[in-house]
Amino acid sequence: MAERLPYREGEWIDRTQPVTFHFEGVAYEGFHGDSLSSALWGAGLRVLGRSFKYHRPRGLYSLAGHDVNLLVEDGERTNLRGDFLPIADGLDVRAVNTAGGLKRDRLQMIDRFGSLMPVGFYYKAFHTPRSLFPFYENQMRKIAGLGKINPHALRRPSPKDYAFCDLLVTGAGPSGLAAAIAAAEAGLRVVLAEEQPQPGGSLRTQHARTPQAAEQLQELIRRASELENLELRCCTQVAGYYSDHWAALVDERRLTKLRTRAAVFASGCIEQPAVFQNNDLPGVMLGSAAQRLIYLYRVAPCQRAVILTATAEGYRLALDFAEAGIPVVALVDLRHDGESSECGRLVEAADIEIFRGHTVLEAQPGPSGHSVRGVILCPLDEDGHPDAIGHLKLDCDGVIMSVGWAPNVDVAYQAGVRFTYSDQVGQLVPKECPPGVFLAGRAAGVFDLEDQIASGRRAGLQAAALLDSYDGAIAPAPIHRGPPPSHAFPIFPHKGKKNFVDLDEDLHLVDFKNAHHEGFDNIELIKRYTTVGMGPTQGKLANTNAIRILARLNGKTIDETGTTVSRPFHHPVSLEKLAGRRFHPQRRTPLHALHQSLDAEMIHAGAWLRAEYYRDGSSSRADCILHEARQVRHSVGLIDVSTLGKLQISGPDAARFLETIYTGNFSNQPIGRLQYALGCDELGVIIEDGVVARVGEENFYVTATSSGVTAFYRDLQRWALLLRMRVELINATGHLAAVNLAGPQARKVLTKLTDLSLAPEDFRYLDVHRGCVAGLDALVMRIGFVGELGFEIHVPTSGAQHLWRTLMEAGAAQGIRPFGVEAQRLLRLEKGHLIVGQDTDALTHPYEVGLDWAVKEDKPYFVGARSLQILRKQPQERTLVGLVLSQDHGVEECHLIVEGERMLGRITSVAHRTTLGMPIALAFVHPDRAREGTELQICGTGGELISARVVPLPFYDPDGLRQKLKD
Amino acid sequence: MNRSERVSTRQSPLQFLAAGAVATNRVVGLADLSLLEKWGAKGPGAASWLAERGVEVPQSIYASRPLPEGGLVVRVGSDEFFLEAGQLDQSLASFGELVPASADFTPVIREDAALRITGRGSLDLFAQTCGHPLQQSPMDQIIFTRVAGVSCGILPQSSGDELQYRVWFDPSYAVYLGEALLQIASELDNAASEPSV
Repeated sequence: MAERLPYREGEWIDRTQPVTFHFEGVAYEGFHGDSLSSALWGAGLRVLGRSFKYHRPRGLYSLAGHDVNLLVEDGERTNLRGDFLPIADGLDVRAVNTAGGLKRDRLQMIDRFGSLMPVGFYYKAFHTPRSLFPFYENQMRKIAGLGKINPHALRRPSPKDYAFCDLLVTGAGPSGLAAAIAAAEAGLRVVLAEEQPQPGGSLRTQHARTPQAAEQLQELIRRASELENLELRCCTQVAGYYSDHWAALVDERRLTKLRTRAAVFASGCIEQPAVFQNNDLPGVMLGSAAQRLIYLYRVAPCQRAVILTATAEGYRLALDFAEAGIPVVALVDLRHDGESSECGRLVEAADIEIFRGHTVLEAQPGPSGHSVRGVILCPLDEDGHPDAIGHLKLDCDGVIMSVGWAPNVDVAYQAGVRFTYSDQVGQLVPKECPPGVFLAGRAAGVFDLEDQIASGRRAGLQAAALLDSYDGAIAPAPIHRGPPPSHAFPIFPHKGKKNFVDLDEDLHLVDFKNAHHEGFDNIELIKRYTTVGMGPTQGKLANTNAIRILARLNGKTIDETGTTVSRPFHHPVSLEKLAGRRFHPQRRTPLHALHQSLDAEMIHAGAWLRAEYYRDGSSSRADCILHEARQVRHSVGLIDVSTLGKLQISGPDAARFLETIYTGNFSNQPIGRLQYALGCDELGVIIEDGVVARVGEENFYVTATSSGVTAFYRDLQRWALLLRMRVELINATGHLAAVNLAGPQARKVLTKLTDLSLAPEDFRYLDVHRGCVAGLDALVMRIGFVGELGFEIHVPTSGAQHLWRTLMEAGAAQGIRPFGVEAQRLLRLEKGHLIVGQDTDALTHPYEVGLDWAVKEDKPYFVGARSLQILRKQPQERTLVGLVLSQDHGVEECHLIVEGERMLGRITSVAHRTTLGMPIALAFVHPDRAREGTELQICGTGGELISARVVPLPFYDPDGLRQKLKD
Repeated sequence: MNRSERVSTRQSPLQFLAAGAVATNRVVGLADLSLLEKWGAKGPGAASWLAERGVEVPQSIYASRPLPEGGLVVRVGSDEFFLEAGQLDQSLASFGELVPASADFTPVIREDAALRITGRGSLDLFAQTCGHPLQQSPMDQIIFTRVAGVSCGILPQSSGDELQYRVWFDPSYAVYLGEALLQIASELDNAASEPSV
């Protein structure tokens, strides 16, 4: 910690808490409160990282996350920005993008061949010969990129959350604090987001030398802390801004989706670098970075400084250095007339040599380019161009740049603010703000400290007035006075071609000239071609100079040149924070625990967990499924069908409503009877099927597909509103359980448990009755989805387990056993019953799947009627048929039916082992191939052709005698 | 078996929460109220029918009122009501049994899973799971929103100085949602117990 300055009020480090950490395998010490960057610089380290393309050594530059010179990884996380990473005991990180470590990076040799790799060289060099492109691509992928993802790293849950406020203020500098205080005092609920660990902004750095700044800061913080409706969030970046005033806030742990009613952007400015030869050497840094080092971390930026400036800020910077006891070798002012303000006179009085009308032409590298050993100055002509003569060499180990600013308004841009260039301020200033969005402080082009505070207060009150919390006077907007705080073109050519414009992407001045020469003369085109602003900082230090360069090359103004589009996120956001906690709602039937106790294999079926089959000793899955199916065919089985959609539809218009929704007729459906129901969309595509039970004159009970009922119910609600029918809709899916007792012995089992008469003449096929089953109020429907005598019993979920156990006990004599979804699918396939979504797709209409009989066109209107009228008249392109396969393996669902190279259709359902003793399938084929006995070829799993024969449907019990069983 | 032999078989789908509720009661408390009996009525005649039975029917949609013998009634739609008993031994079965076949409303079987969420971390729990600004919501008015991706009704209530939230949702989501909330509640609890720097 050799470079630490003496204690000063306001410093962020806690000298009583030393911290030991590791960087590149070496132990360093810092203090609690240090960032990784400040701690390493304070420890005397100068090379903190390697550049993206040329692997040039890089040092501390902005100390604000506006550069990515120090990107590190810790084995689990990568691309951590050193400027924002607090040090802690045990921290062990290494620089990204090196081969063999930071000091001995083997890829640093690329820098020597930089002249062979002008911008766009890979577009031109690596696309021919085509055969070598994979090789080039492989090599480039190895070299390119920054940190590497560790796929084995433990997942860190990130608690993404929501928050709400009246006003979001971005930036807790003087204007942001003033805005937040004014708005909160007017009664708004304010969130004040600050990306640094503590509020204060420039009051802690640029203005820190004056005692008044400290007093102002203390006063602002005191007032803010007294306001309960003002929430200050430090270490929080406003990463993006979206429609309806949604903002993304990202802090150390999480991403917060914040809904606000208004926003004030007091996000300040980003200091911009000058462009001169070797302006990326370790030791060259922005003035604001030097001030952060001096005032926040008490680290000397260098031992002998040269300050390059074009504004009063550089003179204040020189005074900061002088107060810190750091010699300033020279203050180099790009302006010929220098600084006439008080700080100019103070610098002269401090005996700091001033070179007016000069620039730093070149920073001279120390050994291996790991430091600065001096600068070469040169005078500028009247137009600001470097003169060829009069060069002067000075020794120094630091070059501090203070030549101007760019407003930090990426997020404001996303919020809809539009900007125009102001010559008076030398930067973009707001031209037009959408309702509820305000700018304040330097982001709005106001630089005087008192004006910044007034500007913030004004924005806060404007927001309060907009939200009806303030009706007092609002002062006029302050405007910038005096010379512009930014130089118009701090960019100097050099034959050495290491005068960088974009440090992220290693782009230097000539790259832009070349791109322009090749015709990329538009800001969006030059961005894509050179990749300026496409690095991890998204051009925070590059875009302004890039626009200036292009404007000059085109002979246009900044406004005519335009800017690139700013998109989220302001700073990179880790994927773990974007993903947040993953919510995957999962439904369980009330019988779930029983299935598990019966050793069921559970599967996901939409949102539901269902019993696929029940394990039986060492039997295979296929054996278990077939065994369950045979049990249903020969005796009795029990399946949990609680996942079925269960809807109650009642009211005077209930029947008419159903006739509108479904293709069938329901007005004449007798009470106590069931009817198959088919639902289509407006295009006539099948979207739903189920059973409608009429349980009263105006009351229907409807079952719907398990996975489709939620969307279907929403549709029903929409139609009920549109049609203005007197109908009540209730989705009882989760509140009712259902089981299906199926098989020739089902009647015997159920008879023991119910007061209902199950005699065939009393309880006919497709009857529905209310009654008591196992002591429970139940709705019992006689249906035959699996092709056997079956009773579907619906009870409240709380009775489901009792019902199941009682039925199993009652069926013990018949050898009852549970059967799962797979056995049910097999049984229904044998019966030729289709499953919507499996045997239909997004285009299937009823005429393709043999459901013509379910479409009743003799009614005024139903959903899809018009389309079905048209479809009925059109020649069919496919039809669903039954197939018997020639072998019991090799065919899966979605396999193609082919003839030579022509596709004739596809398999929709298949079963290799069936109770029929033959492998069967359902398939869509062209109607020409749908005739009974047609031989087809299926392209099997291994590409082999498997033959199949078209047979009539259903495969099992074509006369339906089993499900109508009377004995 | 005849109707006189009807059985009571109520079980809570959130039984597993019991231990967790104790473990997290420092910051967030999750209490399972699923076993409280529930009942619903939907249709144009529901309000007057309930009023005739002494129920103080909420006049505005989403408002709630206490039931005469404990529990509450919530107006969940213009013609839709949700009733919940106040104690385990309070039965709402009589409501269902009294509805005549000619009634111009439909009795609704309600077997919702139900939670009471309490504690100073309640809003933090909702902040991580729900996009609705609950802190701005009026007391005793139900909100229909999603919690961890599950459609829920949430009723903010005050009990003395403490806020509490009643949450009702489809019982088939009970295990998923209960586990998700318990996990977050445990994290909040752990975060609260970490020493502040």
